[in-house]
Amino acid sequence: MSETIARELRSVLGPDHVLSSPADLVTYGYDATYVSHLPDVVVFPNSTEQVRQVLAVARAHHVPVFTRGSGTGLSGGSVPLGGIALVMTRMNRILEIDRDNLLARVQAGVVTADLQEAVRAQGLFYPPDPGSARISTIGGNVAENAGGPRSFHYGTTGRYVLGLEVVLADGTVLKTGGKTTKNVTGYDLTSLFVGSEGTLGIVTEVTLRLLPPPPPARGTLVASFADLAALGRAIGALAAHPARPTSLEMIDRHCLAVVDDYRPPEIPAGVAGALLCEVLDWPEALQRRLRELEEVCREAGAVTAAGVSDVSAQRRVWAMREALSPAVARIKPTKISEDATVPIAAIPAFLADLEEIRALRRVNLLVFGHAGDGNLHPNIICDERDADEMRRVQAAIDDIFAAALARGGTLSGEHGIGLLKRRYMTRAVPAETLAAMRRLKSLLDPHNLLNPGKVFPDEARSQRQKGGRTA
Amino acid sequence: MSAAAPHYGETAARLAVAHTEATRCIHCGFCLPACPTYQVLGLEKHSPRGRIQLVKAWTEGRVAPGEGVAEALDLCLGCRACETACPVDVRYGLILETARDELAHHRARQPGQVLLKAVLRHVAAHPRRLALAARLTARLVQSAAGRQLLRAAAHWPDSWLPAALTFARALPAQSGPPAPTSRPAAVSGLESAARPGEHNTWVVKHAKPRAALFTGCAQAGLFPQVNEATAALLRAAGFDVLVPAGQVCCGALHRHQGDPGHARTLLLRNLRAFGFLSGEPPEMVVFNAGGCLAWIHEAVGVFPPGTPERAAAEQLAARAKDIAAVLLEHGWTPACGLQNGGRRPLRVVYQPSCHLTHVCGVTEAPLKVLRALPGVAVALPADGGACCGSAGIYNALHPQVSARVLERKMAAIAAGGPPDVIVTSNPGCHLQMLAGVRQAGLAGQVTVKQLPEFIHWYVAQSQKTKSPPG
Ligand SMILES: Cc1cc2nc3c(=O)[nH]c(=O)nc-3n(C[C@H](O)[C@H](O)[C@H](O)COP(=O)(O)OP(=O)(O)OC[C@H]3O[C@@H](n4cnc5c(N)ncnc54)[C@H](O)[C@@H]3O)c2cc1C
Ligand code: SF4
Ligand code: SF4
Repeated sequence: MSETIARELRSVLGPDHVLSSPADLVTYGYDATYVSHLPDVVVFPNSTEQVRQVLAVARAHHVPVFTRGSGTGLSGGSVPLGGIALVMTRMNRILEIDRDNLLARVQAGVVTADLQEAVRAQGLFYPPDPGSARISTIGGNVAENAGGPRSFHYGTTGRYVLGLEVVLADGTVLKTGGKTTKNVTGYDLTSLFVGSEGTLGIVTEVTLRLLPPPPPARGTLVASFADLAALGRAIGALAAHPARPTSLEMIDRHCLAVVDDYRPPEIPAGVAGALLCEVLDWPEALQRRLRELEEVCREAGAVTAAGVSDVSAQRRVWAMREALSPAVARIKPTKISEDATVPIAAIPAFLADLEEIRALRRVNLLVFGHAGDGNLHPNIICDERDADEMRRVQAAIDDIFAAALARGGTLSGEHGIGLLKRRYMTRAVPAETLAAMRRLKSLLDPHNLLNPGKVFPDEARSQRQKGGRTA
Repeated sequence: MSAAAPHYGETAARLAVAHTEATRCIHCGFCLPACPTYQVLGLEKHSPRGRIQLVKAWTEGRVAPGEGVAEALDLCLGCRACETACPVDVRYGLILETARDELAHHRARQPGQVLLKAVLRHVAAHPRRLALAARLTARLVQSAAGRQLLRAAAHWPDSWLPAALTFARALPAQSGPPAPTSRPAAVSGLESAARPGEHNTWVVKHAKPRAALFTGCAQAGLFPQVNEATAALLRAAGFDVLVPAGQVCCGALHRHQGDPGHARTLLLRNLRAFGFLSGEPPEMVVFNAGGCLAWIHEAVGVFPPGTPERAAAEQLAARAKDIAAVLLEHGWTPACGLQNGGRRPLRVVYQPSCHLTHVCGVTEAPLKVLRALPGVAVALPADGGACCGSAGIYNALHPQVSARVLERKMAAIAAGGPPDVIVTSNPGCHLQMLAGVRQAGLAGQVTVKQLPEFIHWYVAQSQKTKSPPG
């Protein structure tokens, strides 16, 4: 990239907020996947206006812009393929918490947990709870439509987005939606940007819907199973029950083996898998509901089913669940997290598919995830330096997606397509639908400046990724 | 990216162990919220994830030390909070130390590094010289010329900052550092600490083994009263306390500043002094400085397996204990018959030593022993006890960043209103807290003490008045 561009960016943002030392390029080249690639320059805007100005420079010189929150993404979405890495972390102000209207207005770089905390301090509740909440940004959550365990009951990030401020590639500042929970005034452009992975516009401000806090009593149902068929049945039965829990998480035996040091006493050693459910209710009702749900699990064939209401015992259970996603990487250095999602009735069959793939491809495949949403995270733990293993891993990934699609499912429930899943898009999305997505993209970003090389299978720049350490 | 330097192959070989460990990092970012430098500087390269990826890139020849890697590693506090936060158990300390050794190797001839090494070897590791240097520098800072010099020094590039001068920033300016005691500082002080009747202070439940006291360099030179109090507490708890002559600085500072050779020399001298290489080693060696204890626990690896030195170092590590953990384990309770007399409790904030927390895993014991004192309300800082920015001699080498870390720290300490006393568990933290109290305008309002010193003082005071001080 020419020095002219860096100079122009510096004159817009100030010299401290435009970085191009090799150390800065390396450290803004990755997210939480195993792919990385260097940007040419890293910029840190502090306002919507500065984002606009960065885009003006990008347009003038035809340089692509890769928006980044905290880089916790699991699909390579914020990995820059050269160009400008635009980092949103300085735009981290909570602009307003409106208690009367149950909403919050924040800049896109606010860390999710900071918002959760600020809202809680006002006696309110922001439900989306991605496992990465202490690190991820609201902008990244919106761009990936992030979920979490509680999405089972409360829905994903998108359900809480009332309005957005978005800077388009041509510099237009769009305001979508508003302050109301109901809004049919024209097209729902807010939803268009939710889950758009930084390819349609740069989100600068988000208006979020809040809820009153949930009922104060918290219980946790822990059930374990001797076989995955019974576990699958229990998921269906719990999801369909009137007393259904707030979250419905599953972990298989391979995961349990990894986090054995976290294993709570409620889960006996050697089971095929376990379900963890959170129940929020009024104190009077909690025990009754836990007993009800225990019964549902037993009927489905659970070996153990225990409703836990002791605070520290529950903390132990959820600490295991939180640690799980990254902790599985203790075995081997490379962790490939898939995000295949199937309709819930297909879960038992899909779990059986995964066991088969594990054996067939001889890969270390473990499964956990938001079972209540049919959103499983098959994770493959491998070593990227082992070429033979990586070939088998690639084959296993292909199998996983083929199985998910065959079961009526989809590629991603919450991590997005990014770089890593682009090649499966043609199989997952009908040609006409994909063509409509492309038309939308070229309408809003005609020169393909925003996050090029992502989401769509055969972007012009896809060749570039071969130059870096990408998949 | 820079082409690999000619000697790159050797660098890569020396960094191999760091590289292997770095490949275990999955860039999940879970360590980011735990990292004080990421919190104040806001850049990935100043986060654990960034530093690990930089070491990896350096090892693979994708970036050179001068291209920002050195700066990123220099600015790490080495507090190791990232290790506790990491769900993959990436051993960041190993990566950092290996990389720092390599940096020191590259910089061996730079005047700043030479001076730093000399200061660490010949001043900082010697209690009496350190105390003298501290007094002289404190006097210098108070003079007009000294202040001018310091202001000028603030503009020198960090790696060039002569540690000897800027160290003065960390010193308690008004009070001046305590005057060194004559002849082996700690030892002579300790003689007087064993006053008759002291045993009445504590109820002793079991027969106790012998305990050897590790007196340290900064502790003995700057805060001899902490060693005195530690010995008094141990004696009062029924231990036979010995203070082996010939013990020296633990070498942690040298280790962390890329001088492992000298750290090993010092360890060897300590193994001899404490009788681990010959003679009869004590059943336990008690430490009151978290930084020293952590290094003794980790130092084992400086000797190759199978050597007598290694065996001795392992034995020392196994017997090295934190004072609070020792007191707790031996079931003492303060027997001072305190009545609160309706007065509000003394508000204490315990600011733990990072290495005591993240390397030794000693988190509960200090809180428990403090909470055993009647009339004391003990809290952790609002940030849960993140690094104060002292970090060995970090505050001397990187005063600007250290001051920003400290500013956040003081806000976290005073979040529930300024406490009466800040209790720490390391001499470096003690110095930094003194600086923090001044920086926050709380001088005269907030006292700083180390844990044994505080307990000893508190019990003695309340013995006198039959009610808690405050
Ligand atoms: C251990 C771990 C656990 C996780 N758990 C969950 C989980 O439970 N549920 C879940 O859904 N995800 C989870 N994730 C994935 C990840 O945290 C989410 O996708 C998160 O939303 C990413 O936020 P970020 O700020 O890190 O975004 P980044 O990774 O920086 O970016 C992600 C995408 O968002 C785009 N983007 C970022 N900010 C903006 C903006 N302001 N405007 C436009 N586009 C933008 C980027 O271009 C990129 O395409 C987890 C990740 C890890 C490492
Ligand atoms: S928490 Fe551990 S694995 Fe995750 S980025 Fe930090 S060091 Fe790497
Ligand atoms: S040791 Fe402390 S300062 Fe250094 S990277 Fe880890 S958390 Fe950050």
